Amino acid sequence: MMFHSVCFAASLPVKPSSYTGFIPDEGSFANRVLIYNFAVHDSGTVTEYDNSTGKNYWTDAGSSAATGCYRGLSRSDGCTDYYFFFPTVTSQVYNFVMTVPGGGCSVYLVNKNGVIIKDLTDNILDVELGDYHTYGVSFYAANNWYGVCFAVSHSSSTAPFYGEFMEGYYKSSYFDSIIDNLPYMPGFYDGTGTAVRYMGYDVANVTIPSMGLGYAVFPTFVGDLGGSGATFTFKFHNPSVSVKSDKLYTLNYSSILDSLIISIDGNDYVHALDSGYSASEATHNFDLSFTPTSTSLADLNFTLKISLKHSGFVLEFVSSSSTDIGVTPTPGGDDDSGSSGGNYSSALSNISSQLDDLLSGMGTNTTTIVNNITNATTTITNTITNTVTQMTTNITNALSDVKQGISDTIDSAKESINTTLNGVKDDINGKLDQVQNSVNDAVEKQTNSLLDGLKNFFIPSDDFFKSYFDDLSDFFADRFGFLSLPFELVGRVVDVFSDASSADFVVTLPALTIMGESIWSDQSFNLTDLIESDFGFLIVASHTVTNIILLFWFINLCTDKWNEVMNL
Amino acid sequence: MILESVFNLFSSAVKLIFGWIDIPDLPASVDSVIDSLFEYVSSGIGFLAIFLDMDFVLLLLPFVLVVSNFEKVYKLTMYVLRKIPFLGID
Repeated sequence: MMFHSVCFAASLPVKPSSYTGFIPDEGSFANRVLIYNFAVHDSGTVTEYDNSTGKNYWTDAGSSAATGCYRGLSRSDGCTDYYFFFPTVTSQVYNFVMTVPGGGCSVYLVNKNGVIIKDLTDNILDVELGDYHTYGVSFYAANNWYGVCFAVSHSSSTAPFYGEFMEGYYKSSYFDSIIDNLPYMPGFYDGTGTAVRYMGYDVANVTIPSMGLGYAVFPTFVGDLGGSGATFTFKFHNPSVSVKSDKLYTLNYSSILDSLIISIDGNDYVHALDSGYSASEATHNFDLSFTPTSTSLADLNFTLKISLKHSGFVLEFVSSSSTDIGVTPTPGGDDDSGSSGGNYSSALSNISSQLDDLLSGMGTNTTTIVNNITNATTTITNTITNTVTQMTTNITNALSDVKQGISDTIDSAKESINTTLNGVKDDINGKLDQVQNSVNDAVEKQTNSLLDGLKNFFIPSDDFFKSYFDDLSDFFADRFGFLSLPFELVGRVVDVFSDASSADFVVTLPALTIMGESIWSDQSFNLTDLIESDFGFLIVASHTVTNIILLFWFINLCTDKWNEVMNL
Repeated sequence: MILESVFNLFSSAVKLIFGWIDIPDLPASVDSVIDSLFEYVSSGIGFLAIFLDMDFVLLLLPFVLVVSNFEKVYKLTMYVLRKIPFLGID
């Protein structure tokens, strides 16, 4: 029986942007169905169906966990519908949480060069089975396709995934272990007509005459395997089959980005086997190591093209920065009784178990470390926040004090300056007033002196006439004797009337002398003083009345005189 | 100074002219009587000052004299004014 090898590699990215599955096929045989074993943890299952022999290798779920693959109906034309789904994650009801609109799943058929030749997205079926949602794709095998690529992305709204993977699903250690188990390849080979299963990928000799080689995909990520600079190694070891030394092992990259596969071939990763290897060697391992030179290939997949004439080796993928990932045997089906497959199955089971324990411990430790880091970060954050707050408060208070001190100093200086300036201003004003007064006095004095000089030059002084006439009066009185009496009387009469306002009413009682004896001396009584002191109001009233009478009399006099002059 | 000089010149001339005259004074008794008379007159005016405001009387007196002798004052004034040629009053 001729049976073609089938292998599948899947990539479950950490980011919920996509996951891919790749089913390589040489495509040279029509009646063949590729059944995908979605390597989801402990549900490793390989199902195959050989239409030419009618032998069904369908194994269904090979483990106790939820089946990762479901085989559908076999069609008369040799095609078989198949479905795949994820098991439910512990503590999660569904693997998928279809709550976020915009998510999508796309399925493409690709050729060996990674070129999409058919879009199967519209063929995706969504079947809800209890706690599961299964997503199946039905397609025909053909000569011109080489595999199927599953890509889940949230860029498509047409796919049945109406949401993204639940975030918790990806963060669970359970799922992480799935990722870590992905690098190796489930595969099988039937070089002798007997179903023999090996883990890894065996592109067997003549069974692919047209291609002469096969390839497998190692879906993993540089970041997951140690990041940039890590060394990755493909290990081929098969104790039962020697490796030809004259064959060339070529390692190529291929990257699936946005559902497009990019193959990168390079001589750097071409290694010729040592000629010392011989078929007689009981065991022989050879490694292909490489170090990615670019970190841009975040979604790096490794495609290994091997042109071997021998089969039956196990392929491992090892990162220098991580633990050597063991090989987990694919659960065997009806024909899982190969000559060497059993040994490897046992070994791989042990390795897988150890790996699970290790990952579980790592998960616990990781959780503890993360919690510690979180607590430490919180403490540091709080401390820094409190310190910054305290520093801010202190700085604010200090600035306020400094500001107040500066303000007080400025006010004090301002007041002092104002006081000084006011003093200087007052002094200046005083000096200016003194100068001005001095100037005014000098000018006034000189002016008065000048005016007095001019006046005295033309006009006699005020006392001149009085002294002048007094002198003349005395001269005439002295020279003319009693002849000057009339003039004197006139002057005295004038004086009497001019001094009338200050004249007092004085009653004089003459002295009485009899026989030369003075009986009493003369006595004067100033009645004006007496009346003004005791009856001043009567004088005021009398003056008011008499003034009015005199005024009317004068008016009457003016009227009569007017009439007289005008002859009225 | 000029006027003083003129007046002093006039005074000197008068004294020079009448300096030789020496007429006896009035007897002291007569002076005493005259003094007493003026004291009584002054006292009488003081009596009137009790009833009359003498300041007002002295203020009013020149106006009364002018009004009462208006014709004479008028003629005197016109006589003076006619003596001023450039006024042209006939």
